[in-house]
Amino acid sequence: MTNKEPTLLSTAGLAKHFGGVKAVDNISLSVTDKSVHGIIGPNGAGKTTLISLLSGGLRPDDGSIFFLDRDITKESTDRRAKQGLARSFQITSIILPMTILENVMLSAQGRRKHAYQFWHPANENMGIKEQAISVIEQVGLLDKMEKLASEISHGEQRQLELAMALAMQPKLLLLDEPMAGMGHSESEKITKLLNVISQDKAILLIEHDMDAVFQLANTISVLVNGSIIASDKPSNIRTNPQVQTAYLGGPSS
Amino acid sequence: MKIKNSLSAHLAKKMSGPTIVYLVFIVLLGFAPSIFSLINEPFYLDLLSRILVLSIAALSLNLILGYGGMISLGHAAYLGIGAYCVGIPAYYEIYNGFVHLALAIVFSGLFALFSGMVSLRTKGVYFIMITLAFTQMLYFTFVSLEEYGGDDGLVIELRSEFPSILDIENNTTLYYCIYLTLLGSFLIVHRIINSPFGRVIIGSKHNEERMQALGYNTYRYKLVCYVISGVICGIAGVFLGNFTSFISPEMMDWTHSGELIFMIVIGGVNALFGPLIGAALFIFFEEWLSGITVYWHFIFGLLLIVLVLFGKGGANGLITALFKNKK
Repeated sequence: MTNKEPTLLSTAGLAKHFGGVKAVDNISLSVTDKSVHGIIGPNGAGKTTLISLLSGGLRPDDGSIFFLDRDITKESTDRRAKQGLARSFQITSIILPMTILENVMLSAQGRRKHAYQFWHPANENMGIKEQAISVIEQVGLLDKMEKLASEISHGEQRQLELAMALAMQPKLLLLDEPMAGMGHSESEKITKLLNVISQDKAILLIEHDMDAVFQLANTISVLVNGSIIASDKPSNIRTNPQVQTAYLGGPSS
Repeated sequence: MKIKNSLSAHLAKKMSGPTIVYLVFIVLLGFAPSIFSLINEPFYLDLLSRILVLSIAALSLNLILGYGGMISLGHAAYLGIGAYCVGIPAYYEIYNGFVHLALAIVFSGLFALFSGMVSLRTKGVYFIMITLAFTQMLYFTFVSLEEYGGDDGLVIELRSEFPSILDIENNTTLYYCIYLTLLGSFLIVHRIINSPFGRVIIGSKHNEERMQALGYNTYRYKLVCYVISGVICGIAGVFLGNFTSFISPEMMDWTHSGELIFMIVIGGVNALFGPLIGAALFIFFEEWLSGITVYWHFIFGLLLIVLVLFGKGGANGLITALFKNKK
């Protein structure tokens, strides 16, 4: 079932150096539609750098990125987003002086053709508002949606962060530790939500919550020192001795 | 009576206390010429006209500075462009006001487009310096144009003519033209900042990286906003030229750009009516203090420092705080 879907995103020999440090070194991976590709690895392995390369925040020193069979290596962040590549940020990146609803409406409006509408109040755009509200409901912030993003708790800001990525209605979600900083119950709820979403979308998931990754992912790649040392089904990753020494804490259990 | 009550109740529900204060102030401005002629003080009308022209300029600057986070230290260029679009045609005896306005819109728009295309590629201090550099370029260009008076400037013999519509040789008519333009500018800026476009601008000020990740080409949005701001300020320049009847490169001096920023800060950054209040306070203190002592710049400077340090949110912040305390 997993391999019949078309490939949405793939990279070939992707590399990024910061001075002498190889943050991302010769990475080739692919994400197929309607699946979750989990990326795990110790701190400093290059996970966030990888996401930034894929979303366009950073330019690679080498290699190329293909999305929907097009080479997007040189395209800007906003062009990639318009084509259906949405990212969430590990460090919450929301518009603090706006309400939850306004934040999500901004993101719902982003992939429309353009937002050069100068005259009509943004709040009265019903199509976008409804779309935004349904996403806010999905992440469980409906009762708080009129609150300012600066007034809600850290966990709720994380939920908003995810909502903003979802509201773009992307083809592929790049999620950078979506559950970091969330309480246990929210984290479970989001895991369930991502499970539902992955039925018809592709997700590239970076996450420290191992339960969530092993529960959601169809494929897991292990990133160590900028390189992928293993990429396989979750059950095989669990038993891979190389992975255990490098990351899961030695060959045991 | 009942209808009136429910209407005012409805309005009160929709509008905050400070907004009502500002609207009352603006309505009063509409009666100012009659009041001044009653008390026989025509000079006050001159002063108020200047305040309103500078309010339009400060309002246009606030659109990019307050809402868009683009701190331009070159906005006086547009006042100069607008004024020269009256002065140079008048030098060739072209007095048609519509021609003046059209020229001002085109040239301030073009200047904003080209300077914006370069400056908006930078951020922070670099942006400030490039906007300043562009304005200084324009300043020295006009200084070197001997034909149009160079350093000494040009006297405008006749104000812009709007044949069989308006006669702005009359100071009261000119005042009402400026007043209506200010109201129009308020409406435009108000609609823009609440529109989807405005949301993108405000979002880019606070988190440009996220806005790009959402699919917005923030550079292009900011550029459009920059041009709109420049054009509004260019129109203010047309009125400034008509009002002073004299133009010189000095109008574009960077200190005037700085004054516009001060007006915004005094009135309240991010407040729609802040620039109007700021311009009024600025001109009021300037007039008042310069009447007391020749060393007024010193006191004025101190006053500005105190206002910026302690008056958080400017005059708008104080008024908002007053209303909060009442509740």
